[in-house]
Amino acid sequence: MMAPWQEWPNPYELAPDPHSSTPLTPGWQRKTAVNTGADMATRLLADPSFARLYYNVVAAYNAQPADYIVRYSTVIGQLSGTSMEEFNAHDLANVHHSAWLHLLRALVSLTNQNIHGDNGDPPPNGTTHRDPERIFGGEHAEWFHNIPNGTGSYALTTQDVSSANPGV
Amino acid sequence: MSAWPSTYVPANDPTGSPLAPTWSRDDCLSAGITLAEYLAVKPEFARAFHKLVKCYFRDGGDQTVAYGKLIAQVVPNPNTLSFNAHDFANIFRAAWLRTVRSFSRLIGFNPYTNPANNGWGDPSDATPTLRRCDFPTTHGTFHLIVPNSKGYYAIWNSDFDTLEGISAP
Repeated sequence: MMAPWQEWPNPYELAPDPHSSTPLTPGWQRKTAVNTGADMATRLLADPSFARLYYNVVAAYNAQPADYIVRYSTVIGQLSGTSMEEFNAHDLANVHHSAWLHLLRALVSLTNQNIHGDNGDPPPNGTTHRDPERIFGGEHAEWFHNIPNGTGSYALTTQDVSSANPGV
Repeated sequence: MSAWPSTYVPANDPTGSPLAPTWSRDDCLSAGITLAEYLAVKPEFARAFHKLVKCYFRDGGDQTVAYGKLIAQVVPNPNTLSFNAHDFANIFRAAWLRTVRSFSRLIGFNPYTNPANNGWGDPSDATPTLRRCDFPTTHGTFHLIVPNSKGYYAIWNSDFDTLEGISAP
């Protein structure tokens, strides 16, 4: 019997966008998304050329918010052993958030400070797409926490990626 | 890569730090990258490292030996026996820079940057080594503090620009 956080929420999004072509649920299993996010964090740290490829898509989204799932799929598909056949925008959201949590753990371990203030967890057994504090170019920019794609929501939490404790 | 500053420790240094690093700049950059990777994806290692960091913020002590033992688990010591507080400070600094550069590429910008700072905590020609840099933001001040009572770093963000061949993000 798996704990609730080990399964995808059902329904995955409470109010899916009726105009979106994104499937209603992730194509990947939860463990696949967590592990691919860990692989991506490692690759971002180890291979600046790969990191730059990912950044180029993020920057394109930031310049013109839209759905860039095909470009992300090409970049994430470079990770060793990653099959992209079932990959969709929810999978991107979960992989991105897993990588975000892994890099945040490194930063918290080094500085004893969580620069985001929290771990961006979605509601219990729910999903989220963007941080409501996010304002493009605004005063909250340093808390930037967003899935840089037009569609897709993540359900991963710190229980999926054991996180560091920022307290002294 | 360039040599360390000829006068490494500031005049009237209150920390009692050694005179200079024993590791090369290249070795510190390489070790910092490895340290960052382990902190990101090895939770037990990250917890052990973070425990030492917490000790510093709690007690303000010299944890050089403990840091050295932990780092030696993942990075071969290029000089076999030497490891001092500056070596730790530079490895720590390299790990921080590589992590922030990677994080910036993931989210599309450097979270430490605002109009009041350069976002990378670089030393300057006038102050070629540092122990701390504060980054004021609208949500409070982020800190880069060498979590040890001794040791100064002299690694610049441009060292990684050179190493990677591309700037960040």
